[in-house]
Parts: sequence; structure tokens; C-alpha cells
Amino acid sequence: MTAPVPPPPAGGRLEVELSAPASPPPPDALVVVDRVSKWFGDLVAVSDVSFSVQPGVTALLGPNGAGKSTMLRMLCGLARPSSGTVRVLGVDPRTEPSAAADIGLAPQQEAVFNHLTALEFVRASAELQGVEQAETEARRVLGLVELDPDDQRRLPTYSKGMRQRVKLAQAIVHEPRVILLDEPLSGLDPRQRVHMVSLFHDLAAEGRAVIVSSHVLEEVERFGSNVVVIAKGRLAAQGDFREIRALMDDRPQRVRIRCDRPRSLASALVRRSEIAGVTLDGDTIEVDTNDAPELARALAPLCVEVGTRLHEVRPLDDDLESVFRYLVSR
Amino acid sequence: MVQAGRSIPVLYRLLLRGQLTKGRLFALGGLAAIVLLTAALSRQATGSDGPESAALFALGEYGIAAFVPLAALLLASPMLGNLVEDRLLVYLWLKPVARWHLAIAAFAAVVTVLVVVTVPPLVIGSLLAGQPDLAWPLALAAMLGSVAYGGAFLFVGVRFSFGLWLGLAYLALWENVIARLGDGPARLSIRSYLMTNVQRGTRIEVLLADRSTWASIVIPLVIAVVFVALTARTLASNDVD
Repeated sequence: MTAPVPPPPAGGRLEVELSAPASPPPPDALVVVDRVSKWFGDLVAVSDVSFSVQPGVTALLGPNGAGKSTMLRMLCGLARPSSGTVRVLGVDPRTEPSAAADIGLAPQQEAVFNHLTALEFVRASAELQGVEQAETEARRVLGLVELDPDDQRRLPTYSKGMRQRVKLAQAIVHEPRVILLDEPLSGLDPRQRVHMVSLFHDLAAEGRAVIVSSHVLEEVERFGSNVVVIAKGRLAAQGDFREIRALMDDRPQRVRIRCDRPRSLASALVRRSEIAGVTLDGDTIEVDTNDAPELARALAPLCVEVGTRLHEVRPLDDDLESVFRYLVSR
Repeated sequence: MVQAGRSIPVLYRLLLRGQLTKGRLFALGGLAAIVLLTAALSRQATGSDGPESAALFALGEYGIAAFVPLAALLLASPMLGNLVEDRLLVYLWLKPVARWHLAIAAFAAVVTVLVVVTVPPLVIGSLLAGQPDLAWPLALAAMLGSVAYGGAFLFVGVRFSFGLWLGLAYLALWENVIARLGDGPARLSIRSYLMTNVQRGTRIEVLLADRSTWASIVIPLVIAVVFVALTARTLASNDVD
């Protein structure tokens, strides 16, 4: 895990700040991001982010608008960092077009070429990547993503899930060493999701770096992977997903409890060690706890003990935004 | 890096097919129909110079000075501009291909359609008007116009989000108003080089046809080269969405 990162400047506005130099990247890193920032006018999209990516599946996790797509665009050279450097296999993908031979990108946008079939689209991509047997390879990868290469329908007639798979096919048809996938599971049904996650792991097992952006925690959990958490354009955490999950589970949480004898229950709650604070308002108690699972286990017996009936128990900050807020503010 | 001989044909095919939408074909067909109709009607003009003068108006003032640049604007401005707007450029940009390959392929796709769309109506129009001497000068002017306007509007479309309006403003204000104010502005007008070529097919004086023979052929080609180079530079320097 990296050291916690200080919160971003208020309102995401540009402020110049100095930070400690990033630690040297591991020798097998395929992607190295070194103190990269990107701003549009005075709006900061990505601020002083450093991390490296080794072979395997790496999830780029963050809420919508956190800067994940901007980061992915810089990783493949589509956008130039305002400061800092990006290296993919040792070269700057922005200034060296040949780097694109080792990069595959499935972008988030749904737009596709209206006049092409899936095979035509993937074959053209293969041809532009210099693949020798473009037609054969295009057919092979369309099969990998469970699409029919002989389907004569134009791409706009495809469902969102099918288009996602076509985008993935064109991203891997040239067998790149670095694969960037922007929200690739969006629009897929559960069975297709399982298949895609399995495909990501297969690709990673061949020594590739598969970087998958997502704003869905549960989705990332299934990748069982390394995670880079970005929130408000800052690196919030980086490491193994299980460590980050534990960090999230250990964070202070606020729980709302409604019952018919709130004063008795509140009195019983304040004596417990996992409770950091209790606020009483009518029949509603708001509890700050450092150990939400322990509170969940203790609550029912406690209600029996004080003779109250529970009407509602609801975590108030269990949404993803609050998780990211916590990670950023640590 | 993928060599130009492999990448440009693929890009050319992709882009050529992409621009042939029903809406554009309908608009171009309408503009071409006006050329043919006005050319046919010019035969009805009276007076000794009447038919030739009317044909010159239909095929030169409208055909070369309006039809060709408007067709170029309709095709060239959205060629790469729409790819940027629709966020499809990424699929062509993120390839081990030099940016000028993409610029050349887009330019070639635009000029191909432009020549096919503009030259035949103008040549047929000259025959319908009973002015066969105008056929070759019109064909040459249309081809040079396709090259020059195609290159210029290709750049405008990829560089500016309001490229179509910028192109219209150039045609309406510069070529039709400011270029007529003096020789200096006229030299900065593509139209003057094209009309010089039209002048070769008629004894009637053509407006703005004041350039030398070599300039009327070389300058449109130079304009195309400059703007295609600027397009490649823009593709290399701008962020891609």
C-alpha cells in the first residue's frame, strides 16, 4: 500500500504543490506513471499521480468523474499530461506512435462506425496494427468474445453488450502487451461478465498488463486484482484489493437506528467500546461506530436486553462515494 | 510502424465509405441538379452573347464558384471533424501509423468523391448549354477546386468544432465580397485561381480570372499540400477524446 495521499485542493482548482518523489518502479513494470497531472483550464482532472503496473490484472477504481478515463487516455497517448511523464514499455506513447503496437484500448464511448460489420471493424483494426493474417485474427478474437464473425449486421444494430465485446476484440486483435479497458463490463449480462473477467485473467496470464477501469467495487472484487484507487483526480490508494477492502471495512461509519424506546437503547449503546458517539433525535438514534460488523452482531441482543423493538437500521455512508471520500481523506 | 503502403489504403477505404451517407448524397445530388438545370436553361438566353454568357453564369459563377466549394465543405469538413465529434478518431489514431497517413487518406477519400460528384455535372452541363469549349476548362477547374477546397476544409473540420460555419463564412464573405475589393484579397481567394482556368474556354471576361496560367494550376495544388500538412500536424498535436 502506498502512503495516504493528502486531500485535493478545494473545488478541484489548480494549486501548485510539491510532493515527495515517487519510489522507483519495479523492474518488470510495463507502465510507469510518474507525478502526472492533467488540467483543463484551471480545472484539475488528474493531480500528481504516480503508480506503476506490472503484468496481471490491475483495476483502476474510482467514482464517476474521478479522472479514470483521463488517466487511461494519457496511458495510451491520446492525451498529453500537463506535467509528469507516462512510459509504456519504456517509451512515451504520446510522442511515439509505434508504442500503439503494444497498446490495446477499448474506450468507454459507445459510438461505433455505422457502416461497418463487426468483422470489418476488427479486421481494419488488425490491418492498421500491421497484423499479417488480419482476417484470420479478427475471426479468432471475435470468437473469443463470443461474437459471430459472419454476422452481416452493421454495428449500430448491436446491443450495448455486443458493442462492448466488439470494442474489446479490436483492442486485443494485435496481441498487445498493455490492454486498457474503460468500464468494459458495462452493458454485459451476468454470464458475459463472468466470461469477460475470465478472459481478462487469461490475457494477464500470458504476461500482459490488463488495466480495467471501473466505478463498481463489487466488479473489481471479482477481478481479484491489484487496485489503483483514484478519487477527485488524486491517487487515493494502491495495492492488493483485499487490503483496500479491509481498509474500507474498518473505516468509521454512521448508522441510523429507529426503535420504540430510543432513550434506553441509546444508553445501552454508549457503554459499548465500538461506539464512538450517539445522537438522539425523537425516535431516531444516529450512531458513529468504528466496527460496523460488531455493532451489527450486538444490536439484536441489546434490543432484547432493553426491551425495545427495532423499526429501522440503516448505514448512512455505505455508498461508494463515501468510501472513496474516506480513502482520500486518510 | 506500419508502412504507408499498407495503412493508407485501409484508412482510405474506411473513410471513403464513411462519408457516403444518404443525407450528404441527397444534398450533393440537389446541388448537381441545379448545375444541369441552369445549364440547360442557358440555351434559351437571347442576344449574340446571351447563351454563352448565361452558360458562364450557370457553370462558372454557380458551378465552379458555389457548387464545387459547397460540395467540398459538405464532404471535407465532417470527414475528420465528425470522427472527432463522435469520438471515433481514437480507433484510427491509436495505431502504429504516422499521422500524415491518416491526413493523406482522408484527403484522398474527400477528393475521390468530390471529383466524381462535381466534374461530370459540369462537363455534361457545358454540353447541355451548347458550349463544348467550356468542358475541359470546367473539368480542370473542378478538379483543382476539389483538391484545394478539399484540403482546406479538411483542416478546418479537424481543427475547429465550428468548421462548417467557418467554411461557409469564408465562401460567403471572403470569396464573394472581400476578394472583389482588390488584387491582394483576390490572390488569397481559391476562386480566382479556378476562374482563371474557366477563362480559357470563353472569350467573355470572367470575374476574378486575373491569375497567370501557371499560378492557376500550381497554387491550388500548393494550397492542398499546405492544408493536408496542417491537418497531419493537428492530428499529432491535439488531444484525442
